[in-house]
Formats: sequence, structure tokens, C-alpha cells
Amino acid sequence: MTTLSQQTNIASAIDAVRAAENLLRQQINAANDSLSAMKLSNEFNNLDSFLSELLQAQNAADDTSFTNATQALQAHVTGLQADEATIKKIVEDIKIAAEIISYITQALAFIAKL
Amino acid sequence: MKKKLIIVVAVIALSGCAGLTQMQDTVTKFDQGAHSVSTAQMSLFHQVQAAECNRNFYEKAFNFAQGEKQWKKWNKDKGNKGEEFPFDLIEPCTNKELTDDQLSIRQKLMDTITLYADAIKALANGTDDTDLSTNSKSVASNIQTLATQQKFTAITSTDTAALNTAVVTITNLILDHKKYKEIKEAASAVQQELTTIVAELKNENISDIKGLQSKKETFSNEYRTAVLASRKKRDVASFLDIVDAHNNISLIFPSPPNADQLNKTLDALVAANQALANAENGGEIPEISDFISRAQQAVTLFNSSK
Repeated sequence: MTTLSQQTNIASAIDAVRAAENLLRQQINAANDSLSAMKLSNEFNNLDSFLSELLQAQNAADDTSFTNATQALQAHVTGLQADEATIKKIVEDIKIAAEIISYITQALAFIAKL
Repeated sequence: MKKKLIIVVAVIALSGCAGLTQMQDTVTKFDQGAHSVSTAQMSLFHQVQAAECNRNFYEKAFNFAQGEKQWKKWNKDKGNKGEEFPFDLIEPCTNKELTDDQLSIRQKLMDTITLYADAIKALANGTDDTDLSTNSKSVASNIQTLATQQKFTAITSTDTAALNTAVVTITNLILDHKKYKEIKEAASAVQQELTTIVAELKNENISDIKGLQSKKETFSNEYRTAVLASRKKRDVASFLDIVDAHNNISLIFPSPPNADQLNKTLDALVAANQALANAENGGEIPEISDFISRAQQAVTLFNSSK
């Protein structure tokens, strides 16, 4: 059974991912060429997949499904670190890129505590 | 003198009936409200499942539409060599965020609330079990068994034990409702338990809405990217694609319903039950009116967003 601390970390990670998504979405809406929009959308999709896994962990009904969900999250960590590097390259506004990365880093830190 | 006595007795008897009728009416409204809030809540859960399936399909479709470059990236990420991007237009969906089993458990949690409302309605009507069928009692009994096995899970583990205890207490009342002499006694007996269940539902609703919002935005981003490509190729004719995009986004990913409204309706359920716990016979109960009004609005909102 999950502990209060684990569930608090999952909830905090969800909020951090949503915050990153909100900033990324502003960039997608501002994009004027399809290639930039495509790259940014792919990054958003990765964050949404991560959020989906966080929700699976949050809804896990037993220890086995929670362990499975946590392992899936941990497996995603390397991918998200790669996403941070990609976002740094494709988001033109350096300040906003740093903010997005900061939220993803926060989410990763919460996942590391699980 | 005898005539006066008959009138006094008749007035007393009638006022007694009026009190009972008023309470029956009040409890009937509470029961209707409980069923409505359950309908709205289940509608949200079904929307969560549908959104996950749609999101999974359209994400693959978006990757497929990006062509060979994206296939190569996908294969590299997956460690594959030269395989084509897997994309099946009729791929079946298996829910992971809210599995069918988890949905079934949530249905039973809502059944606990509606069966409780049915039980106190039967109590108010004084009709023994005419309104509480054998089937209802069987459902309550099954739910109780699940709760004793700790099958109801809360978002936080510390709440899980309390949640299961709450379900056991309420199903006990449903099965033994005839032992209660008054509505207020029955309502009072489960006030804390209803509060516990509602607190859990509210937490889940907030998370579910975040997931729904993210999925809708994912789809909208994909559509916007496609519309940009369309504009480049089709110039002003891409306006037609934009119209399609706007309509399809609302159709495939309806706006996530307002969690706040559903949660306020759940709060109103708890407040209405507290009012029943404090109620004397007769008189309107504002909390019941507020509850049924909110519950009807929630059903309308959630049905329109299906």
C-alpha cells in the first residue's frame, strides 16, 4: 500500500508536469511554422504520457500495480531528461525554456523520492 | 364539546400527517439528488476512460502522420531496427489510468451512497422494504464484503482504511435500516462516513480533471500543427480544415467538466445529510433544496460534456 509521502510526491509531480505543459502550450500556440509546432507538440505528448503514468500510479489499487506504475515512471526518467535537452533547443525564449525545464526537473525530483 | 374534541383530534392527526408527508417529500428529494450526483460522477469516470483511449489512438495517428522521420525516431527510441511505425486504425483500447476493475469499484462506491439514500427513503415511507429490493440488499451485501477485504482504495493510504470502514458502516445501515426509528437517527449515524467517502471522491475528481485537460490540449496541439501544415499547402482553403479542427476537438475531447461544480455538489450531499440528521418533522430544509438543485445542474453539465 502506498504511503502518504509517496502519494504526496505523485500529486506534486502531477502539478509540476501540468505547469510545464501550460508553458509549452503557449509556445505551440505561438509557433508559426509546422516543423516547430511539430517538435513542440511531440514534447508535449511526452509530458502527457508521463502525466498518464503518474495518474496510473495514483489510481493503483494494490502494491503490485503501484510497483509496476512506479517502474514505468522510473523508466521514463531518462526520456524526460532527453526532453529537457530538446526543449532547451526548440523553445526560442530562453527564459521560458528554463522555466519549463525547471518544472520537469521538479517532477523528476518527486519521482526520485518514490 | 364532543364536536370540538373531534376537530382538535382531526387537526392533530392531520398536522402529524403533514409532518410525515413533508419529511417523505424531503427524503425523496434527497434520494433523487443522491442518484443524480451518482450519475454525474459516473459520467466523469466514463469520460476519463474515453479520453485515455482517444488520446492513445490520436497520439499514434499524429506520429504516423509525421512520416518516415518520426518512424525512425520511434524505432531508435524503442531499440528497433527498420520496423514500420505500428499504427492500427481499429486498434482496441485497454484502459490503464482508470481500469475497468477500478471503474467497477468506483461504481460500487457510488452505489453505497445511492443505496443509503434509498434505505432512508424506505424508512421515511414506513413501507418496510418495498422500496429496497432484495437485489439492492444483495448489492449492499456484496459491497460490504469488498470493503471488509479493503478493496476500496483512496488516493492516500492513510485514507484507505477509513474509506473501507465508512463503506462497511453505511452498508450495515442499508442492510439493517429498519432498526432505526427516525430519519435523523439514521442520517446522524453515517454523517462522518459520508464525509469520508465524499472527501475521497473530491480528491480523485481534481486529479481526473487535470488528466482530461492535458489530453484535450495534446489533441489540440496536434491539430494546430496539422493546420499549420495545411495553411502552408492550401493557403486560405486551410480555413476549412480549421473549422473541422475546431468542431472535432470539441467532439472528440469535450471540455473537461468543472470539477469544482461536481465537488460542490458532493459537499451539498454531505450538508443535506447533516440537515436530515438535525431535522424535525415538517418545514422546508434549505440544504435539501440546494442539494437537489446542484445535483440536477451537475447531471446537465456532465451529460452535455459527454
